[in-house]
Amino acid sequence: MIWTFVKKQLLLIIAKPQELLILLAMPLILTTILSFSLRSFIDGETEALHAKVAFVEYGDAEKELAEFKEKVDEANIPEQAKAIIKEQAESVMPLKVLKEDVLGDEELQDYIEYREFTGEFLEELQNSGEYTALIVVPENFHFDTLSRIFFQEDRDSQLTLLKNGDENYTVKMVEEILITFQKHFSALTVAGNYGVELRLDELERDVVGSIEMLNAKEPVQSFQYYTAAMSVMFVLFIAPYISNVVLDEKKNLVVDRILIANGTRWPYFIGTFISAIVLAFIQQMILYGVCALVFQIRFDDILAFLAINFALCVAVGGIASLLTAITFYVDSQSVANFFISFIVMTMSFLGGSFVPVHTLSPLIQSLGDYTPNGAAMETILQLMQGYGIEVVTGNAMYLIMLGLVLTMIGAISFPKRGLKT
Amino acid sequence: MLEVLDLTKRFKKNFAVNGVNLFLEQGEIVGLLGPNGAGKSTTISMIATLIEPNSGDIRLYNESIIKHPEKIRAILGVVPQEIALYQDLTAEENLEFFGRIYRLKGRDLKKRMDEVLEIIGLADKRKEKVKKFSGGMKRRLNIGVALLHNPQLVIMDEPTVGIDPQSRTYILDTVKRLNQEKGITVLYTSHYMEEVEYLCQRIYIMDKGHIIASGTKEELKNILSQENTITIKLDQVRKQFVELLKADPVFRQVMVYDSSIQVMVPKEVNVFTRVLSMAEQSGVELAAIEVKTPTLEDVFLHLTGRALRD
Repeated sequence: MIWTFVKKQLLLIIAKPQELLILLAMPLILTTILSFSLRSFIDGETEALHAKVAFVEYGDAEKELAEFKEKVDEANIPEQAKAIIKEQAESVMPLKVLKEDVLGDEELQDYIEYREFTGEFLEELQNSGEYTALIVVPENFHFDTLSRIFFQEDRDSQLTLLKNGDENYTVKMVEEILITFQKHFSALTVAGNYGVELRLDELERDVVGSIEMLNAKEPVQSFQYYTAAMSVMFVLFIAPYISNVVLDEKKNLVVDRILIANGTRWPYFIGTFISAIVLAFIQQMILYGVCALVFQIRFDDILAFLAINFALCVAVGGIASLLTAITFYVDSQSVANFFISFIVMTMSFLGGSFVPVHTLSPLIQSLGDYTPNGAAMETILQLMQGYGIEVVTGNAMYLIMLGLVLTMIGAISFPKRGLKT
Repeated sequence: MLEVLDLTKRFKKNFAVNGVNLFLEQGEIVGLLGPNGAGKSTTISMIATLIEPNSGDIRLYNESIIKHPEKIRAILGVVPQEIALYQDLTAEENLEFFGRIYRLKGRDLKKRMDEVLEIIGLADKRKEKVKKFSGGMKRRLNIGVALLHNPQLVIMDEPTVGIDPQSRTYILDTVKRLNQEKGITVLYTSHYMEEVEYLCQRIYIMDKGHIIASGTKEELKNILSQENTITIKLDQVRKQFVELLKADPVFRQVMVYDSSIQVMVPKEVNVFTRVLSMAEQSGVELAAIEVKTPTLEDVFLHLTGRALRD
């Protein structure tokens, strides 16, 4: 039964070239125009990507290394092993690797510069706001980390990242570097636990590997940006399209006919919700398919891409359900018109479909995160940069929940018609 | 088969339907006649279980459909006044969609679609979009959709509004054929008197939410068995002449047209001398005086004081 409604919607939309033009051709045309005309704005912004990082150290690395060497000497292990550990300990000094091998890499130096401070400057640095991120190194960090790696001791040795601002790309970049770095050392610890011999060449290759990973997350280009921006904006047009079809069905008594034939309004209402999801998903796939061919837009993690798009389509289904219920009640196309001319435009602005939101005020950024298009776009841009499924989960859950909640509100407020069976 | 008992529907303080009683026997065509706003559509919407009445009951085979609407929905086909179709889809796509809504599928659906297309004479137009159809073809498809699930009872709400005479004739013949060949019971609402006269064995006349008369055509016409309908044709209608007619209690239901006046008078009255005298007084030149036996239109006029299409 539900498929009958979905098929009908597909047939109706295929039969109306002007609707197809709005839902498919317009986003492609606008993607092309905006990508070219605002190329310098988007791409120029990525050139300006530059993070200043401060290391705030409470301990003394050299002193802690000396203490660790003393500990090795006192350990009940062969002399040859003591010599190897002491030699390797110098090489794997955690912050030394981070500073010299990771942040000191030539390519990264263009994007990140760092300075070192002692712990007493922390408050001053926090207040100054001059630095993108502060990496706080606790006392005994080096000693604990080396003990964990070489003696498998259960010691807590965590760096703390203090971010200046939440969601801009430079902060995310530093955060990602740090997470990768910490994972790397955790891996070494685990390897040690299982008796895997620690070799310096492996370690260095791994550290270099983390830089490669960083390079894969390149800043988005204008075509990528506007492909995402226009697709998440135009998917919203599915909702008023659906509600207008329902209004026509109501006005020419098709709804009555369906109610008499079918008994209840629920198959009709659920059919509307599912139809919106299916139409939105097909629209998104066609748009990204064409953009893949024309603009070479690619996603490394296709599943993650499909997941966030499906979640966005569920949210659109929810909006369509609510809009349908309101339109049914008000009995006028003005609801859809208001949604198109005001709500879609506002949501698109807040969500970053016109200009990147992080160039705007933090308030607008926060509001944008709550719009379905903004939440989806943020994730899609991250996927375009090479992130994986881990960036999808939160926003996908939010979008699906939003869709379901809106659908429930729509279902409750959908006007009753016909006697109940 | 179907009984409507003291049915009342109020919209705020206005009674759209007020204490309506009617019944349908299996296999008959019953007309529900009345001008726009008489309450016909509200009545059939309640029978079709789309609107809940404020009071009264509707019983199908002696069982209340207000409590069990599914009973009537299974056997009911409704032809609404509007073209309740998808204009952008083909005739076939429309039939398939509504057929599936009626839970038909597979071969049964296809067979039924073919049969319906034959009945409504659109078999050769099945692949054409509805928006390209003439008004008459749309009306026929509108009827076809209501026949998909082989209903025993069909309610037709003004099914011939706004179409050409040929299409109207086709539709009326189709309704009659369905009734005679398939035994389908039909409740037919219209404000075209001639359609109701042609199709219906029994007629209910409705006005201002009430049933004001009912019976067979002959029974209704007998209401006016003591009266004649007189049409006075004039070179020019003058106000003074009309006022003289209205002032005489013998002349009732004075209806003024461009170059004629229609009145009803008791059969025993000699209208000629009265009319000639009035024409002389008001300086009107008479072209003709026609006397005819009353039609259902006249009955309606007699009962409501206004013409059906007012």
